[in-house]
Amino acid sequence: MAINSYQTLHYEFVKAGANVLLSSGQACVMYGIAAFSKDGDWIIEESDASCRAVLSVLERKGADYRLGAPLDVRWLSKGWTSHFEFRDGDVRARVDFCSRPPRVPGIKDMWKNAIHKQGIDIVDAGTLILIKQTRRVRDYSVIGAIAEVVGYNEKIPEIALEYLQDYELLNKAVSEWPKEAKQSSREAVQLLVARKNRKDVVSALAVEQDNKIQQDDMRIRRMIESSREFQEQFARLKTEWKMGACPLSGQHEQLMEIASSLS
Amino acid sequence: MVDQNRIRKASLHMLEPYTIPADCPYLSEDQQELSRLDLEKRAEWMAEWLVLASRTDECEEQGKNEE
Repeated sequence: MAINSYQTLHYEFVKAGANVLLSSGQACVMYGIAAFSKDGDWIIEESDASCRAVLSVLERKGADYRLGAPLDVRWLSKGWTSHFEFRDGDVRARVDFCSRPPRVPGIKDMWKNAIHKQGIDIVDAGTLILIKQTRRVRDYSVIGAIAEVVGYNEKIPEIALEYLQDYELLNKAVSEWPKEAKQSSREAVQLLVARKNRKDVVSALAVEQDNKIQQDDMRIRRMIESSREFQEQFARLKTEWKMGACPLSGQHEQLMEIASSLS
Repeated sequence: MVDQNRIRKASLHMLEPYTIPADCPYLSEDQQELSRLDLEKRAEWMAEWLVLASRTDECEEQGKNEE
């Protein structure tokens, strides 16, 4: 099977003994709803074995750390993320890891609901919707598309009513599932139930989206703000690594030393 | 309460070729084309895009360095 750099990497992580799930942009491509994603995002199990397995694969690839926490349970379990980059032939690979994706309430359930098919291990579409509620406007088209395919087309009203992002489809969903719509706490749905005008519904959808964008933006700003000292130390380390061609295992040890300031 | 089994089943369907309605307000024609491919073809599609994106990145960096 002809595969891309991130799929090869996924197979190698699994073969090395890591429990990982494809997530975010690559998951959207695999689900057929995003044409492209530059980065490879994975959710990694919070275990020393999984971290060691991933690091060993990345070391063989000649990967370097990008700004982020060390790939270690101590930091993953606090919600920090780890980032790497390497050259894979013509491709500049950027790979990102987290173990507790934002907005996903139950990590155990997330693993239980994961999808495994043809060697691909991937978050389920419901979890992907939560992960994609980011500060980027374009991610809400992805959410709308998942809600259309999984919710409206597959007839799961809770997904359709909760996550459709446009007036027309949401209006159709409310007409199709009036009982479920009445029980929804979503303002745009309630406005449609009350037969309010289109402008009010569209405004409610826009405000809802903007609230989500603001929430994610604030989350990221807090992380950046609380890691100022670490960022400066990381920049110094990165310069040293470039000058001395430090292998990933060496970078990892040094990064763990400076990352104690990450709370 | 969302039926998680149904979401898993729908997720599995999305890993097979399927058709996004032409009037989908969220996706471009490119994306609609991708949904009609099987997993192998989606991975190939992604491989081509990754090479293209890396070359674009390099050109941009080269341009910045020359400025």
